[in-house]
Amino acid sequence: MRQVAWAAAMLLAACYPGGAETVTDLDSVTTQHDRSASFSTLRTYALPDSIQQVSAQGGQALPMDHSYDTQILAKVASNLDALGLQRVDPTATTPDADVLVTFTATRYVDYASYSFYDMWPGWGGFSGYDGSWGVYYPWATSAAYVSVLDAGSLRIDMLDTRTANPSTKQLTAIWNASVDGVLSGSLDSIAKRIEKGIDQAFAQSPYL
Amino acid sequence: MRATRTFLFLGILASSTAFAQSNFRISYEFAVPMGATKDYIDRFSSRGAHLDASFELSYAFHLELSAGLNSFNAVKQGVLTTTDGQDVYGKQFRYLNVIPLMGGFAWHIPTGRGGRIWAGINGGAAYFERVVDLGLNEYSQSDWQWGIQPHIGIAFPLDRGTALFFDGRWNYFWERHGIPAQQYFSFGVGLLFSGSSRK
Repeated sequence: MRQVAWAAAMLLAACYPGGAETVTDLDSVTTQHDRSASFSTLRTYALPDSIQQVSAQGGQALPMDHSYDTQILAKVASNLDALGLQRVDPTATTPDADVLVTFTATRYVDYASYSFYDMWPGWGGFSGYDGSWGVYYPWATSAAYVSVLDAGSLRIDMLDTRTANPSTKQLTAIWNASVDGVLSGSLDSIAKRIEKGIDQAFAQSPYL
Repeated sequence: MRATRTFLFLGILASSTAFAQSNFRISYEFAVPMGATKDYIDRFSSRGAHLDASFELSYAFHLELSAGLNSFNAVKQGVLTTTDGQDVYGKQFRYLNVIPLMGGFAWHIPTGRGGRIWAGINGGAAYFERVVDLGLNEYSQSDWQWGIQPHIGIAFPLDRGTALFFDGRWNYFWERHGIPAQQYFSFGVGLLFSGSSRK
C-alpha cells in the first residue's frame, strides 16, 4: 500500500508542469479601453517626439536608454496611420486625440526569510539547531533571502481631447496599452520585442 | 430531524448487513477534457488520483463515496480577457485542478474469487481551481460546481482480498456563477481492497 502511494506521489511530482522557460515567455501585452468612447469618429491624433520615463511604485527606477525612441514612436505612428487616423501638428491643428508614450524600468528587490533547517532536516551540519533558528546576514537590514527582478513597461495612452472637461480639468483616457516584460538581453532584442508588442496591442484592439 | 433519521438509517444499514462485500479502491487517473473544459485546456491529463469507498447495502447494491484529484495543464498563446475588462496577450500557462467529492450508488456483480464488475452513478460537487500564469501576473478563478459522475469498472483478483481494477468515469458539472458547464472523461487503474467475499 505504501509503495503504491509512493509511486502515485512520484508520478504526480514528475509530471508537474513547469512554467516560463525563457525571458520572452514572460512578455505580455495588456490593453484596456473606455467602452463608451466613440473611436469611429476619431480623425486626427498628435504624438510627441519623445518617450518619457515614469517611476513605478514599489521599486527602484532604472536608467532608460533612449537610442530606440524614434524607432518605437515610428511603430506607434504607423499603427495609428493604418487605422486611418491622420497625425497633425498640435501647434497648428487641435487633434481629436493625444497619444502619449511612456516607459517604466524598475528593479524589484524581494527580501524573503527562509528556514534553512526545514529545508535540510536532519543534516549533520545543523546538529544542535532546529527550526526556531534563522540566518543573520550582517550586510542586510534583516535575515533575508534576496531576489532581484528588472521589469520594464512601455505604455501608450490615448487621450480624447474632444471630451476634455474644463470644470474637473480632466482628459479621458479612452485607450491604453502596456507592453510588459523582463528587461533581459541586448538592447536590440528588447527593442524588437517592444515593437512586436506594439503591433500586438493594436491587433487585439479591433474597436479602434 | 429527517436528515438525522436518514443518517441513522444508513448507519444501521452499514453496520449490520453491509461491509461483507465492501471495498476500498485507490487509482491513478488519466483524463480527457471535453466541452468547455476542453476549450480552456485542450490537453490530455496524466495526473490524477482517486480514492473510492464502496459499502454493500444489500446484495450487489453499494453505497459509494469518492474523492479525487484531476490536474490539467496546457500552454496557449493568445488573448485573455479578464473579469475587469483587460485584454492580456502572451504565453498563457493554464492550469486546472479539479477536486471532486461525490457520493452515490453502484451495482457490483461478483465474478468470483474477488473479481467484480460494477456500474453506478455518483452525485456531488467539485472544486475547480483555474489558474493562468501570463507574463509576470497570475489570474485565477475558482469555485464549486455541482455535478454527476456515472462510472463503470472491472476488477481482476490478484490475491486474497486484493484486485487490480480499471475504471472509467464521465464527470459532468453544471454551470454555476457564470462559469460554464464542465466535463471530462477520466479512466484509471488501481488496486481494490475488499472485505470477506460472499459465495
